[in-house]
Formats: sequence, structure tokens, C-alpha cells
Amino acid sequence: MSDKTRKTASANRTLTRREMLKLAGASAGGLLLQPGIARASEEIDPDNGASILFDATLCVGCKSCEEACKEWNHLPEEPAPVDDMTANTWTLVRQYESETIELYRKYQCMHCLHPGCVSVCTVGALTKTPEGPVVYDSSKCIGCRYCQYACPFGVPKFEWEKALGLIRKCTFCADRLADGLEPACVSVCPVGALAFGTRKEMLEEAHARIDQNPNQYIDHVYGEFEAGGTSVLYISSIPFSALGFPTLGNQPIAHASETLSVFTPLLLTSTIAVLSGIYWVTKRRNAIRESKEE
Amino acid sequence: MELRAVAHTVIHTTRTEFEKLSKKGKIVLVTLAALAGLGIVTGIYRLLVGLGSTTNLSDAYPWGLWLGFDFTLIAFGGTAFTMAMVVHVFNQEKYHSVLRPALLTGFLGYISVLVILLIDLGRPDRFWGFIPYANVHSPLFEICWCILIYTTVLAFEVAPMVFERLNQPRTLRIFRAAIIPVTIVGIAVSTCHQSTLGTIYLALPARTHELWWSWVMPILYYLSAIGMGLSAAILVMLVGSKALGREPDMEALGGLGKISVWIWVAYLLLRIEDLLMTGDLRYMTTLDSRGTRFWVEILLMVVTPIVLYSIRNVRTSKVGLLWTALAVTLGLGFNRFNPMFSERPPVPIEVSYFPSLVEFIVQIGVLAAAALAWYVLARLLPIFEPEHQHA
Repeated sequence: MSDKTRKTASANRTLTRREMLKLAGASAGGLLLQPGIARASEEIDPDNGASILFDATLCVGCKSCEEACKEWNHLPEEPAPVDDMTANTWTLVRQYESETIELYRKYQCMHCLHPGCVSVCTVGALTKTPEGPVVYDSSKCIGCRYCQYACPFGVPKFEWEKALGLIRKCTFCADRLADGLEPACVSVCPVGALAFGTRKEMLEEAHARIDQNPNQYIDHVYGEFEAGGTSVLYISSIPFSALGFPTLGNQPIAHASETLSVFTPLLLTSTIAVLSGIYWVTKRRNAIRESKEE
Repeated sequence: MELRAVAHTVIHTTRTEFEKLSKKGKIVLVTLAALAGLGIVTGIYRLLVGLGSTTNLSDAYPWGLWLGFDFTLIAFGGTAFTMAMVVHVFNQEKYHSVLRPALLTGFLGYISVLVILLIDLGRPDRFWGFIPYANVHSPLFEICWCILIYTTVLAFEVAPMVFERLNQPRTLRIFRAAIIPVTIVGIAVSTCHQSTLGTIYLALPARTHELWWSWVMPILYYLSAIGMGLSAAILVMLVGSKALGREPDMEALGGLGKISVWIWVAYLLLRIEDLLMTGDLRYMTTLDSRGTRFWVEILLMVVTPIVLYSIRNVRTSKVGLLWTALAVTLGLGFNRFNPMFSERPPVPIEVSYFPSLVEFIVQIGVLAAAALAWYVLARLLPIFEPEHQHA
């Protein structure tokens, strides 16, 4: 359990005054008079974007959602059953056992509000759309796989078997959403374990279900705040760590790197200025010394 | 006709020069050439068939030996900007004899980095993608641009050696006139990307253990690149001098060791302060695989140079300097690899990673090719000054 608390602490850490001063000292001259920090997905209104609510107390593990996903996205069958998402399996239902009950969890892209994958993508192939989905433009991707490292949910998968591999992942059925349809997985769920609406509606729904049956649910909507919030939300009767969810803080995954990346132009220009100054001083000092020696 | 004559001369000279070498020298050169050749063939094979069947990389461990070595080599190649800063910016003429070997090392180091990056990419055919498509938030985007610019700067810094050899004083004058501004831009670009290598992990809080994850990682990466750069210069000068049958300027090398003590002291203070303030000290006492790797890194990369470079007898001894610089290099390798493998991957299955044979062969091949190229260029170009010039 100490593992989990540490991760929370790690993601929650913000830039303190002390650390700001340390950074100031290092960026040569401390010209840290930067205005507000721009974020990759600042303009998105999280409440109006599309959202999925997964209720772990309702899922029966029938895997209809997996099949619907494969069918809609034309994904080939796996040669053997898989225990994790792959380049050809964008959603997966896995069984989890606690002391008392068996529960199922549906894996897919969480469609974060401030996605780590979007922030780190070298070429901007991944974007968070105002409609909710985190979408991928395969024509830009260079296959660096930084997105795979940045995702705390292990979602982006690479086409390892291809000579020229690309990233593949759940699209939130952005094409269906554009036509006013629900995502394929939601549309086929026979037991209502998946609900679809705006994020505001889904959060209200989640809290309403918890309030109506406080004995049946733990009082936690996973994805409401985790990593700055996600568009896919979960409610459950057992703690989320028992369903394989990472314990994350409320800061966006790439909060720290985005905070620092804005200083790059300043670091570049101030280094040039400081180095030129040092060059001028040492050159002059050497010249004075030489003239004295003569 | 002309071309055939040139080719004939080249082959003839190469053969006679090779015959002049000692038996040991011949063995080393032939081995390097064989490893480089094997690496090239294996690298082409990997490009043809993809990453899945040739590497042990996976969705859980998408980065491995190649990326880790790239991060290490960028710091090792940092010897070029470090020595350029010492000699050109701080005007420390005493270290002039080390500058050209360091620039050549940096140039070949960065080319090796680019070759490995290309082989590691899922779409090597689109390696240029960061030029038309920008994401200013991505540390890797910044690093790609900096490496592109800096490799150009290194080519500019190596070019005068070529024109000096070709005896073209007019072209040489053009380069000489621009060398200070170009060098300063090169150091500034290095400052950016050497520190941004640390920022790479700031974007991975869930994958980077707190023994490494810290807001000051960019500063630690910058300081360690300078510390590595100084030791890399010592290492290259000692090995290069031996290979070329020269006497290294021991006074300069000892001086570099002395400077690097201060760099590593600053690094250690910042690292200790950070671990104390964030309360991560408790992980240091857990000697599991992670805790052990942390200590190997600290002892080899930081403590060894602080202690040994402080001793006068070490600074004046070739063996002493060589072993200390080797320890720093190995420790830095641990330092650059460690955060990549410090946390469990966020997948619901058990996955581990150990590099495949292909990964090793390609990596060793690229390093062997770089070493061979260094030796050949050091023989061809005036990278060493006449031994008594700086008396």
C-alpha cells in the first residue's frame, strides 16, 4: 500500500517556492518573470464533453462490448486470448476477485481531460477534442512511443509485428459521436453497465447512484479528479486499487514537464547572453594580463 | 581515371599504414570493424522486419537498451560543449589540447545517437516528422530540434580541422570568424537539451520512482552532463593518445579532474537536499534491485570522482585518471538507465524486459563504428596539436 500513497504524492507535487528559487538560480540570471502557464488542453470545457460511466456492480462480463468494438473499428481477432489491451484489442473486460465477490472491469482509453499522451507526443499526433475523445492522427506519428510511457493507464499500444508500426488505441468512437451515435461498446451493453452522456450528466448520475445505494458503492467516482479528471468514469463496490486502477494524484500527468517547457526560450536566450558576457570578461582579462607581462 | 587513382592511393596508404601497426593494434581495429559490420547488417535487418521480432521491447517497456544508450551517449557527447565552454567562453587556453579530440568525440557521439534513434523509431521513414509537425509541450520535440541544430554546430566546429588538413586558409578564415558565436549558440542549445532529458521523466510521474523523480531533474541532468563531459574528455584523451602513440597533456587532464570535483559536489548537494526535502530518503535504505541501482549510480558517478579527483596522485597518474573516468562513465550509464526501469508498468499483466541479442549487436556495432571512425579521423585530421606547442 505504501507504493500507492507514494505515487499519489509524486503526482500531487507542485512547484514550491523553494524549488522555484532553485530553478531560478539555474536558469542563469533568474529571469523567471513568466506570465501564466499555457496548457495543451486548457480551452476544453470538461463538463460538456462526451463521457462514459462504467458501473462495476452491474457488469456481468459478457464481453459484448469487446465484440462491438472490434466490429465497428474493423479490428482482427487475436490469435490467442489476451489479458491486456493490444493494438487490435482496444477494450477488454477482466475479472477481479475480492474476498467476497467477483467483479468485472472494462479497460479502454480513459480519454483524460489533460492527457499525458497528448502533452508528450513529439509531433502532436494525439489531440484532446472539445467533444471529449482523445484522437490520434496516424499520418503524423513517427513511432517514438513516448505516449506509451506517459499514459498511467497503459492504453496506447504499438503495432510491434509490423515493419512500420504505428500506435493504436480506443477512439471513443469519435466517428460515431460525430453522427450523433453512442460509442459502439455502450450501444450493445445488455445490462446497462455502461452509460453515455455529457461528463456533467455522468458525474451527476454516478453520485446519484452512490447516494441512493450507499451500501452498494464505495463513495468514490474514479476519474472525477484523478490525473486532472478523465472522460471515462467508474463506480464500484470495492476499492479501485482492487480493480487494478492506479492511485493517482489530481494533477495532470504532464503538469511538471508542461510547467517547465515554457521556460525553454528564456533558458536559450539567457544562456546566450550570460555566455557572451563571460566570453567578453575573460577575453579582456587575458588581454590585460598579456599587456602587463609585456 | 582520376577517381581510380585516388581510390588506389587510399587503398595503398591504408594498407601500408595498417601494416605499420602493432599486432595488438591490428587485432583491435579488425575487431572494431567486424563488430561495426555485424551491427550494420543487423540494423538493416531490424529496419526490414520491424521491432517486434527483433527486440524485447513491448507495450509495457516501449523504451529499452537503445533509448537508454542514447541518453547516456548524449551526456558523453556533452564533452564537446563542455570543453568548448571551458576553452572558448572561459578562455582557459591551458585546456586547448583537449578541445579538438572532444569536438570529434561529440560529433561522432551525436551521429551515433541519431543512428540509434532512427533504428528505434517505429516509423524511421518519417524521422523528419518533428520538422513539419510541432508540439511545443513535448520534451522530445525540443530535444529533436536541439539535436538537429547541435549536430550542425558540431559539424561546423569539426570542419576547420578538415580545411586545415586540405590546406585551404581562405575557407578556414571564414570558419574562424564565426566560431565564437556558433560555439555560444551550440552551448546554449546543449544547455537546453541536456536539461530537457531530465524533463522527459517529469512527464512520467507514474513511471519514475521518487529516488529519481524530482522538479530539479533538469538541473541534475545538466550538471551531470558537464561532469560526464569533463571525464569523457579525460577518457578520450588517454585512450586516444595511447592509440595514436602520443603523450597526453597530463597537466590539462588533471585540471579537468579538479574542475569536475566541484561539479559533482554541486550535484551531490542538490540531490541530497532534494531527497531530504521530499522525504524520499527512506527508499535509499531499501536495498532491493532499485535501491541497489541507486547506490551504484551515486557511488560510481558522484562519490568516486569527488574522492579520487581530489587526490593529487590520482590526478597526475594516467591509470588513476583512466579508472576514475571509467567509473564516472559507468555510473552515468546507470543514472540514465535507472529511471526508465524504476516503476512497474501500468498493465494488468506481468512483463519484464531484458534486451535481445539484436538490440545488443546493433548497439555494440554503432559504438564500435564510432570508435573506429574516431581513430581513422584522428589519424587523418590535425586533432592533436604538436606535443610541445603549449609548453
